[in-house]
Amino acid sequence: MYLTPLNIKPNGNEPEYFDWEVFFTDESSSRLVNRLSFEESRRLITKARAHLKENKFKLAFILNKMMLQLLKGREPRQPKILELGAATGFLTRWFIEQYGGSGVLVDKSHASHQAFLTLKEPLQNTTYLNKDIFELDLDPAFGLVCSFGLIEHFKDKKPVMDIHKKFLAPGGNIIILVPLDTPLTRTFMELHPEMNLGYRELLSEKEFKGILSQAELRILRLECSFGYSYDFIGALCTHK
Amino acid sequence: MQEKEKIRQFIEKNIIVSREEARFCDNDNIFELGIVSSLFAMKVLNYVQAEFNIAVDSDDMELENFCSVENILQFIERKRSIAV
Repeated sequence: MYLTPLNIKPNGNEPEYFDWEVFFTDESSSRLVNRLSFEESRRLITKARAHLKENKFKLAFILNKMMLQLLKGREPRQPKILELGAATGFLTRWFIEQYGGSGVLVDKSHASHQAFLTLKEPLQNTTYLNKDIFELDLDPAFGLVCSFGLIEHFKDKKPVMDIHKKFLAPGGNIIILVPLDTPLTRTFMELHPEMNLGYRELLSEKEFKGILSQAELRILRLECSFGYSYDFIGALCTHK
Repeated sequence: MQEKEKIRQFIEKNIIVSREEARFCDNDNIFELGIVSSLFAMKVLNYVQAEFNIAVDSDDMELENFCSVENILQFIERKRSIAV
């Protein structure tokens, strides 16, 4: 059980009556914020950052949940996976662990590649290409092309969406996950500016569906996460 | 072998720290202790299904169900009691 701290009272006194008119106003909110000392503000932000922080275990379970929902009744067998903007290959790990198969991970960041190379449990049956996703020379032979947190970094979505389709085998599936534009995600990003490594759009469900549709992908299933430090949305698609 | 012992052995097989750091009790939260990697969270799903012959679905994917030997055992027992 987590108990929230008591409200800060105006002027340190109990209000004589509770004014619901003021309760929801920006003025009421700014009055409270203005009363906070530097130390109180620092404590508040530190606490908020701790509440909303990345937790790889929690993320893994929420990802477990989302992927099981996305793939229910469509579970791949021994898939050949291409993960774009893979970082340490979180999605490929999940697929190989559940369904076997093999993976090609692509990421141009040297730091991501180094992190992958120094993983305490190396990923089997995978090749890591430390390259730009737009400079790939691969056969269109992947039954599963996926990305997690990639397309929102591109202002022009067409080239990055085309890459998802380019290496897809006929009848294959595309899985794309992106952070979802919700008050929680906005709060997370504001509290963790260190996570904002470059251009990033937070997409609403409607915008995400629009991007998939413009890329001529047919959405087979769409799922939103629940319970993580920020919200994300995932789609299982096929090429029309 | 008792089920509790099997679960403990599975966790021990997936420990990523030294033997000294890897001591844990049946009620210890193995994620908070940092003795397993996030890959464990993916492996445990297959493990409980295959080893204990229970169907795990998306609603079961709560960290609390898998964070200790005791919790995994309770989860398995709960799933069995629902299946009966």
